[in-house]
Amino acid sequence: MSDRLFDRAVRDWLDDGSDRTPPAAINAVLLAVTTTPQERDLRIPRRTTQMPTYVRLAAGIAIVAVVGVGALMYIGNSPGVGGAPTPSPTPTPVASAAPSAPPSLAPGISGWKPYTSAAYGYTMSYPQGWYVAGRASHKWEPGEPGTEEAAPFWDIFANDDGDGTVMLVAQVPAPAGADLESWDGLHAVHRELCDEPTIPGCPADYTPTSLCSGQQDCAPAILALNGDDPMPVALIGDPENGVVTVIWIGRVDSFPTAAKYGGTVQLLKSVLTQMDVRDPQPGETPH
Amino acid sequence: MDRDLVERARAGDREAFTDLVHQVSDTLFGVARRILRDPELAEDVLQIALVTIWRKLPHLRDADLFEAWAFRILVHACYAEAPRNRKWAATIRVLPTNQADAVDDVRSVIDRDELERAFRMLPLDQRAVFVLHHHVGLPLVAVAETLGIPDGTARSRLHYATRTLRTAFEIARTQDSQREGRLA
Repeated sequence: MSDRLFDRAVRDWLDDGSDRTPPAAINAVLLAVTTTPQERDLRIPRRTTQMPTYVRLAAGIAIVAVVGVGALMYIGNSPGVGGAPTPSPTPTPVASAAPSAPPSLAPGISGWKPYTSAAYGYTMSYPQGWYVAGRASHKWEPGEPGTEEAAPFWDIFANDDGDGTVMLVAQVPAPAGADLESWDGLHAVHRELCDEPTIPGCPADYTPTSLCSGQQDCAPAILALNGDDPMPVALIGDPENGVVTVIWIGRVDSFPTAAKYGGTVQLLKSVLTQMDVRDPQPGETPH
Repeated sequence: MDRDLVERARAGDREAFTDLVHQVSDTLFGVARRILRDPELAEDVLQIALVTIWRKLPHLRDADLFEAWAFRILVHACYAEAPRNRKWAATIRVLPTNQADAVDDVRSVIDRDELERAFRMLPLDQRAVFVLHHHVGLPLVAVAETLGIPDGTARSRLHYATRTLRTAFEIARTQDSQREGRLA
């Protein structure tokens, strides 16, 4: 039996099938990483072996000197051994190091980083100290399967500290005949989208809060708060392009590590200010 | 492999790790799929391996060794997960019936099925050496370094794996020839 035949058969057999990693697997990994700390490398670099002898000698003398002086100082300060007791230092008021956050920022947010979605084309900002944990691999489509955060149509942002707080953003096409010019119309869109398995914040008891998108002009946006401890979601209508931007903080308001933002609702409101979404002025309604 | 990306990910930069995952995941998935012969299990193993890589990255001394190090973690994840998921994934192919070269195609499918069957009988450590050498293209010395085993061990594992596959292939070919002889 020829080697060539065998080698070719092995090569054909090994080349069979696709090596493309399913996007959901990648997103699941990136999401897991948001809450997984790295192990600390506690090994000490072995530098002494590379040091010249005189450097090692000097280092040794320095260590002995520091330890010796420290020991003498300790003995000198110990009551009953020698020397007068040192008065304990008077506590002095310390000014808080953290500057107070501007009103538009949730506590715990020091700034913003711009992001443009490759899949959707929208641009927004996410908090400084966060990172892009997953990029949407394709646009959301009606009937898109999967209800998990790892679904591949979300752009996912997570806190760099791995505290488990995540924000997910996607754009969905408005259903046929949808009115994206009014708050009522946007509420109706939300209710309709709630039939989709992947749109969050949908229990019947959600409280829609009306917001304005645009500093000069009020286009409709809403904040949907489902239940007493909501996992907040915001919808921003874009009548021109017939799409709705969905921003979902995938944690309940009382999520322990979100306390530093004043909860996830406050965090979402803060993100919305960066997208020019605000509370309407008295008497103001969408154009 | 982008050394800077590895350095940044090692320092805890999750964004860099995200980019790194996108760079290496297909290669790692391909290796896991070939060792395990089960795409779903390979997907699970890949996820375990990538999270392990993230956790242990600070221990990686030399960023240039990232790929070999990642292969080692992946192969160990295969060793750990495969015994828990013993199942036989069916491979179904549509055989052509109206083509002039149908006989060759059928023979090719039979070859692959025999190789597949024989490969699944191999222990995982032999499979790993075979895949890293024949699919990834690593020299045997590099395979040994990657898996943390002596050169001789890598050589003998490759030898046994190749012998098993070759025997299965030759038997399939012989039976095929006999069948064709009877039909003729």
